[in-house]
Amino acid sequence: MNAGTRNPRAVAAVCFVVGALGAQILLGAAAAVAGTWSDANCTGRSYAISTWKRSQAKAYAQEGDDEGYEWGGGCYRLNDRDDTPGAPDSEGEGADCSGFTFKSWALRSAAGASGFQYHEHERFIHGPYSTADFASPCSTCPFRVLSSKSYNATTYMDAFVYRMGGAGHIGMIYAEGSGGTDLIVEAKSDELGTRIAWTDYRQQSAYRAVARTSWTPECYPRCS
Amino acid sequence: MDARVLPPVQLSGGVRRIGAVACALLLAAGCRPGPRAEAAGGDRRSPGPGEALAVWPEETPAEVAEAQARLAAGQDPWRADPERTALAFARDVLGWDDARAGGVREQPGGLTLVDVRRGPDGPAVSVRLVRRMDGPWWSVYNAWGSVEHDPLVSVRDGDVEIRFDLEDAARARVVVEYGELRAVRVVEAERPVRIDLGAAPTVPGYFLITLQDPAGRTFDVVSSPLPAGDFTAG
Repeated sequence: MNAGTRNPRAVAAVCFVVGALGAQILLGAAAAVAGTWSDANCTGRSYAISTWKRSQAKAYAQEGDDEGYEWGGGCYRLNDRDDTPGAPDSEGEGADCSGFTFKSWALRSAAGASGFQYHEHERFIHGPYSTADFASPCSTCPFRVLSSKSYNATTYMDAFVYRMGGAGHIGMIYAEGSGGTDLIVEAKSDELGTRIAWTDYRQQSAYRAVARTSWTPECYPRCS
Repeated sequence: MDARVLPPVQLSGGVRRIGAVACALLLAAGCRPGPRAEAAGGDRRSPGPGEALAVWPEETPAEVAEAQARLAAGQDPWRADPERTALAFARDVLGWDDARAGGVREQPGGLTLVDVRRGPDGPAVSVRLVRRMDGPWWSVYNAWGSVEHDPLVSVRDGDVEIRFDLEDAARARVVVEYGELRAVRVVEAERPVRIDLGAAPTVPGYFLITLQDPAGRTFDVVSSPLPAGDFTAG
């Protein structure tokens, strides 16, 4: 091909593509330098949804079982193992307890906002609520503290939360038990990861019961 | 110009194939929605991976760029050694002049862990290092001791709240720094530490809590980089 007959627009287009590709490669190299587990794995999205049932929240939370825990984190790769064990606060796999509750309850990422927002497991998001917020909800928060911790007062996917000084935790009821114990789904710790386990939070005086409000009824859309 | 009058573009089969592959790669690499594309809709932006940089010695992009040039010129060659970098952090930040390193271990996600001990029998903390520059130089991503409870950290519209377990400490020193803005609090009783930054931070920062014995010696530490904007954990 005679160079003198090349179409300048075609040459410019090819140069643009090659240049842009080069930039992408360079960006990729930079990302590799700064890359953490989250950089490589957390490509999930969050988006508004109009309904969210307790059963959906339970199924969502169940998928976190056997995965990791990350203080301030929120991203899961669902492969039934902790991808980043023994690495606290390292942009690794998992959520912490308040972040896991935030995602399972499909809370919106704006503090105090009502409605539902679905956060894919692979989305790195913690949400605006700490255990202190769950234990003492704001006036517009879409969750509230229950006046009783009795089995009559709670149901599955309600939660038990405590916050005392420098310590706090929240775990959701996966299935109610008896005698003060329940099957709890929770992002427990860096050592234990996210799990489903029998605990006695219900009978520990430090814990209070907290419930998400405005769940979509299970009968929806065929409620009579 | 009317596109219909443009002369036809003649490309060879090889060029077409290269172009197709390049475009596919561009689409795959550049157009995939990522976790940071969720700020629309009025929702508060959440921290994404990579936004928080490091605890020490540089925690903002400007400081990283400045350090990159300095280190590339041959200064501070010890920054290429994770163990020496961790020990320098222990000396400069924790005040452990007799710090000793207990080995180097790689961790998932490109982090390197160095256990650092104060003297031969003193307390130990885990120092995680990360390469935040285009080169072999290490930065301290975080330092995480043996605290029983993870701290609560909330940064919301410039209001910082930190709650942590004082354990058996006589006092705790809390440092929060975002670029030029630096706040230090010393507490001797377990209570929330609240700092008013005046506005939401626009650059990444970090917090660092050191627990001290009655003699003022640090025996434990919790620290983490913080992204610009709001952040919640714990």
